Amino acid sequence: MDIKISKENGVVTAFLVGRLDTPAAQETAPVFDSLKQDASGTIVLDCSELSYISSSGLRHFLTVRKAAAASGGKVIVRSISDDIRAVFMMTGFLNLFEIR
Amino acid sequence: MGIKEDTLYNRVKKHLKVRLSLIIVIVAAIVLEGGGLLQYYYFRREASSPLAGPIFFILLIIGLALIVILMIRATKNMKQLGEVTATKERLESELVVARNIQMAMIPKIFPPFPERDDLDMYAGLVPAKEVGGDLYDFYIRDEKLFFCIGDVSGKGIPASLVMAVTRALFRTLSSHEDSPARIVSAMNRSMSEGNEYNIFVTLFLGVLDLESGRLRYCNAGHNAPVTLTDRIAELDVLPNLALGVLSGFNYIEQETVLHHDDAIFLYTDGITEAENNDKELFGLERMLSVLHTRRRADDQVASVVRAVDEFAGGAPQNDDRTLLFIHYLGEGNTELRHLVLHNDIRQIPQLARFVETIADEKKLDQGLALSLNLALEEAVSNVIMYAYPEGADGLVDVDAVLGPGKIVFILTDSGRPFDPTYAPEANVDAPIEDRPIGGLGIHLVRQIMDEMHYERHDGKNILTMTKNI
Repeated sequence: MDIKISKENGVVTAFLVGRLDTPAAQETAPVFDSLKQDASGTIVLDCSELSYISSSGLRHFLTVRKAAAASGGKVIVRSISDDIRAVFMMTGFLNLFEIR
Repeated sequence: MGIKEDTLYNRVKKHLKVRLSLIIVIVAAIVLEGGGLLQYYYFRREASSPLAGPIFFILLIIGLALIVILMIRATKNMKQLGEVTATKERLESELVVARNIQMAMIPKIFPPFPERDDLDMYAGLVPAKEVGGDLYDFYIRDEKLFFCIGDVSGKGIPASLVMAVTRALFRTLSSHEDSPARIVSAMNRSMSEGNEYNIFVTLFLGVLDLESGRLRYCNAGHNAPVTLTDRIAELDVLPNLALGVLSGFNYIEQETVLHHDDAIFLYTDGITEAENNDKELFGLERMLSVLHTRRRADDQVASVVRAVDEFAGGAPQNDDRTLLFIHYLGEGNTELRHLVLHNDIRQIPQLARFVETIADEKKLDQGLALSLNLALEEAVSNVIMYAYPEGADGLVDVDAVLGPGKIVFILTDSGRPFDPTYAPEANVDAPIEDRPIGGLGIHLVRQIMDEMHYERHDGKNILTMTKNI
């Protein structure tokens, strides 16, 4: 699991590459923590290279989304695959995130 | 021990009685013969002696008296003998009744399920002359064949009583329980309590799912059955322990799969330990050599019985000979997969490969494969993170039963009791402020799987998840 972060025009984009399973979620916890510092702006979670996500990965998405809600920012989830869309559907995440 | 001492005492008593009779006969003979000699000497040579007459007379009286005593004794003995014979006959007829009651308890009508085309069965119990304690039984419930074969230690009325109890326990305890290990454990608990006569029962118990061919079984000290698949071999069985020995014994369950036209043959040691006149044993090799794959159950049983008879060549049969042949003719395209993981979250990728391999074999589409992977990961990581104390090593067993139309995953761990099915339903429609961070894992398992069932057994958490495909 790789995460690349880029900041452009006040928009923070995180490119998620690979499988965000339980062990990967543990490893990447600091990255998602650091994303919360930009929660007042716009955070884009780019999922075009994300092949899998488990509940511990979804939990990171949720904490970022909660931080944004608390500080008036927004979170955009970009380019999710059909498989991951299905997981978002099951967990009600489609209603929580702006999906593009 | 008490019975043996009595027998010895009786024997000595009987022996002394015979000796006494013999002494009386000898004394009588001496007395009478002595009278004869006296008669000869005194009447012929010294006929004039005044003592001759009375002495002869006294001896004659003594001799006759002894003969009368002897006759009285003989009559008494005859009467006793008559009584003993009557008792023996009565006991023997009671043994016959016991045997008949015993035989009435086991299924004897073949084919037992003429309406079914997925099962071809035959069984036989050739009783020894003395009433023994072999048994077999079977019936179908919920499209599963429950069957058992057993051998009670000892012979006579006690063995036949325990046989009847065993059969009743099998029927009762399997009526609401599908797990062979749990049925056997419960039978063992009942039979160990108050087992003052130390009568044991070796038993093999199986539950064959007639739809899938999945055969779960538990052995309690019985000899391994023979499976007839592409080859003929003894089934892999753990010996465990005979019933009635140790109340809390932890019986381990095993399983295998029968495919169309496969069979399982169960027998008691009366077959393999049948003796011929040279005291040689029939043995496993001879038995295996007369079995054939892909044959009718009645032919198989007949050929084993015939081979044993021919081998024995009229030598007395000392033990019951019992055979149960189950020829499976269902579809039975089930397969089993197994994976063992340590409670280390870094093992999750291994689980993913395990599920992917299954998905490839079963040609599942990618979406389904991914969601199965997700459900398994959620359930397994739950166990890994919460079942065992911090830092303790523990194992998680993952069994997959790949049946026609469904996949069943069974997770087993020895961690602290935890029933994930009790977790409250996650509210996925709540606004972001109210959404809890946790609880999504079990929610996903519920969403993906068609059935989820938890049980705690023998210090283990067992989570069964079924996905219809």
